[in-house]
Amino acid sequence: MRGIFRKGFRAVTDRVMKTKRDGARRRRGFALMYSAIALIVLTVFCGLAVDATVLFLCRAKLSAAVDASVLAGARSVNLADSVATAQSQAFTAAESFFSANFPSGYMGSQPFTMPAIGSSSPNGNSNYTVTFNWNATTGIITVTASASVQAPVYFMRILGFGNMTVGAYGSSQRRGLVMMLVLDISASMGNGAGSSCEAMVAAAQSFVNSFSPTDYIGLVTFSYTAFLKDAPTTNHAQVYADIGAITCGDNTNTISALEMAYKQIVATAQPLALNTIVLFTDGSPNGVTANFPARTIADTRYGPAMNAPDTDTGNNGPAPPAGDGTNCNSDVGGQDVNGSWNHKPCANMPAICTVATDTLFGTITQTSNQNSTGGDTNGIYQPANYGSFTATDADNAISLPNSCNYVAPKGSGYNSVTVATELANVSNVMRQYVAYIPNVDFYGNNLQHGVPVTTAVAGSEILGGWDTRENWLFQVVNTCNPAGSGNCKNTGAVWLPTYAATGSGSSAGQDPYPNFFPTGTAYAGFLRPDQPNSIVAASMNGAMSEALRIRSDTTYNPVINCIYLTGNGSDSVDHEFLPIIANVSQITALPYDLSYAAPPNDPALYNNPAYQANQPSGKYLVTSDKTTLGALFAQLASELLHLNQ
Amino acid sequence: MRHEEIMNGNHSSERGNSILEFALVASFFLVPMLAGSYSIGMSLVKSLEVGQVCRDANIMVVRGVDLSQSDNQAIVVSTASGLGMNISGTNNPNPSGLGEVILTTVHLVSSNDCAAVGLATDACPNFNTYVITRRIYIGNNSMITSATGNPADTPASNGTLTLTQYVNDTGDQATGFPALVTLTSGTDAYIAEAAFNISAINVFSIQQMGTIYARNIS
Repeated sequence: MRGIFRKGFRAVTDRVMKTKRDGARRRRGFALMYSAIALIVLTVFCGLAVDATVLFLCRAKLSAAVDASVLAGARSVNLADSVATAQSQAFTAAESFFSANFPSGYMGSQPFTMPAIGSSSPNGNSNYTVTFNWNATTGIITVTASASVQAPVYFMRILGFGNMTVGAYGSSQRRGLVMMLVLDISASMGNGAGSSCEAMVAAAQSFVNSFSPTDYIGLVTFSYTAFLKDAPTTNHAQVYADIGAITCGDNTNTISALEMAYKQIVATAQPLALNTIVLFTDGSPNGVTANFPARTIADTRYGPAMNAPDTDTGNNGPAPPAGDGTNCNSDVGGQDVNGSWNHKPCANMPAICTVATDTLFGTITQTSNQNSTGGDTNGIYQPANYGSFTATDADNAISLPNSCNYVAPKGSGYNSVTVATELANVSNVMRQYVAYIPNVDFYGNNLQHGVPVTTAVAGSEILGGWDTRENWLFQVVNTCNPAGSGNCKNTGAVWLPTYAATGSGSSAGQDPYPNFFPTGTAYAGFLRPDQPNSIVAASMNGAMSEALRIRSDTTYNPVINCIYLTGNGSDSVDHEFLPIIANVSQITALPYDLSYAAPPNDPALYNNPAYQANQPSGKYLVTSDKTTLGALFAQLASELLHLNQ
Repeated sequence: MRHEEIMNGNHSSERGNSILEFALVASFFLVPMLAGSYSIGMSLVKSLEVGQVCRDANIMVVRGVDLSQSDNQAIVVSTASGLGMNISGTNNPNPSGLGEVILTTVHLVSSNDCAAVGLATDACPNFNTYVITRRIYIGNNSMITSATGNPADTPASNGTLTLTQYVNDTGDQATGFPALVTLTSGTDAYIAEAAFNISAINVFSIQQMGTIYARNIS
């Protein structure tokens, strides 16, 4: 029994062992086999990943190309002369830039056969279409493009998939542009061949041609007052022609020009558009429009006096100042260093008007150089068109109170028979009618102080928290840079006793800052109307204030850009005036600044003391070379077109 | 004992066979495949990121953002997060970092440009030629050379060349401007190029993931 059991056990054991040996033999290479199977699966997934990579890359590239194409299309409309041409140019540019950004056959994709320009019909398996839309109400151009491409698959083909389609869509909107071109046509620009006026005209005409036919462009010119040549229009040919008809002469009433331009922007009523004013000027403003108080109190001021007997009618003017006789009617003391004829201060100059509350409405200007010794001042001129007031309306040209309107307040040789015609023809007598320059002008600008200071900057004229020209004395500091170069220009300075011999400050008993009537006189503390320097100071304050007020419009968000041509005539250079108008954060030093660094050095910059961070900033471009005006205007066009995409 | 050994099939001669086979398969197939998949996947991600950085930078330029300003450059750098372009802990571009963005403005010189510098078109060296008017580098500017070419004149700190320079100096011509794009006289094109070193994603030294380059023209 035991033997039988032992045999049986052995037999079972052998079978088990054989089974184990067979199983082990069969298991050999299983890892390899499993790995091979896993590899197949992994390879398939890796293949899918590769295919997905190709698709993703194609899609990303396609999307970038479509974006670039619509941006290029929206930018390209500027040089067209009609909407149809603009559309055609948009299509051409869009397709061109698309092709440049998505090379045909990229990553093995089906090559594009671009459709006919502007066609929305698919052309081939890989398609590109572009559309153009101009909304005449908002001025917004929209360029859209869509593209799809047949991207190749390699591993997914095993699973029965063919080429895969990936697509992209892009849209670009170009804001409408409402731009008022404000051009200085003052006498200092000159006239004729080779003049700054001619250079400005050529540059401005080229500038106008830089914009899209869908953009609204208007034109204001200004001398003693502002002239609306073109309300904002898409008829650029008319604007071009009106610029070509410009001749230069007279004064520089920047305040009225800015106001007129601003009113046109508001009237165009496109708050979604880029509303901008482009101001070109070659000097300091010198015109103020206001309700001027009538002078009813005798005081000491510059002649000529209104005291000579009227040889035409026999009527007499006010009694002559005691002891001065006819000297107050004459130029005295010869010409000053700037070639201006000066007038003698007339003591106890009789008043002409009789009602203290009366005002004279209109514009007064500096006439002779920006001196402070009684040089000529002009007025009262008819002001710019404003609201219902039109400069062409003779009845409203200037407003004179009856209390001033007596016959024959004439000086020697003056033959006018009414105050109005006398003021118009012999305007130097204005200052005997006007008591003083009020602190606020007709538009609400601060003529006395200018604009608030936001950043204290050494060297800037800052007084009582204002960046102001109220104490500014022009044409006293000749700066040559580099020293001895002869490249000199008056840059002005605060009126200090140091400069007493230069102007009114030389008069005994006057205040240190004689832009104002001195203490103890009838109109003490008010800006004088009888010296050019004071009118320029008031005009600069008013222009800076005007710009601040325009930029505060949060509906139209006007941007003011400035181009400054320095060095013309005898106009002094003010370093900060136009940068403050444009609201640039940093001011580039001029060649007349000691900190100036000539190219190729980096320009010296300093902070704008009146920079308003919450208001739009424009561009400030400056040159002393009129032959580069075309390039500056072109640069500004380029900047505007950037912002205008 | 013998019986237990037999029953468990624990033959010393077969020990580790599976591990060995797996090691062989993994060494020759699985690890390279996984490493390759990782590299391809990561390079895809990096490619998309680089393309997006390039595209965003160019759109900013076209929209009028001045990328010569450090604050604006920080925006570009922030769009390249994770690509090693920044100085650690900041969004300031790292001049020795792993990325570079080159921004170029190309201009077709017009007769007006020539006249502005006092030249007739027949005496104007670059008349009707594509020139570089602005060049801005952000990041490590030694990574690549711009395919558009390099201006012979040194740009100002804001990247611009003067009108006199690019009208007169033939060395400022954009020799690499793509022929596919035709500009109208006096107009500009904006080119952004981005290059980033992604060699960090290489698992093995034999892998060749080096620099990813992207270009956008608008």
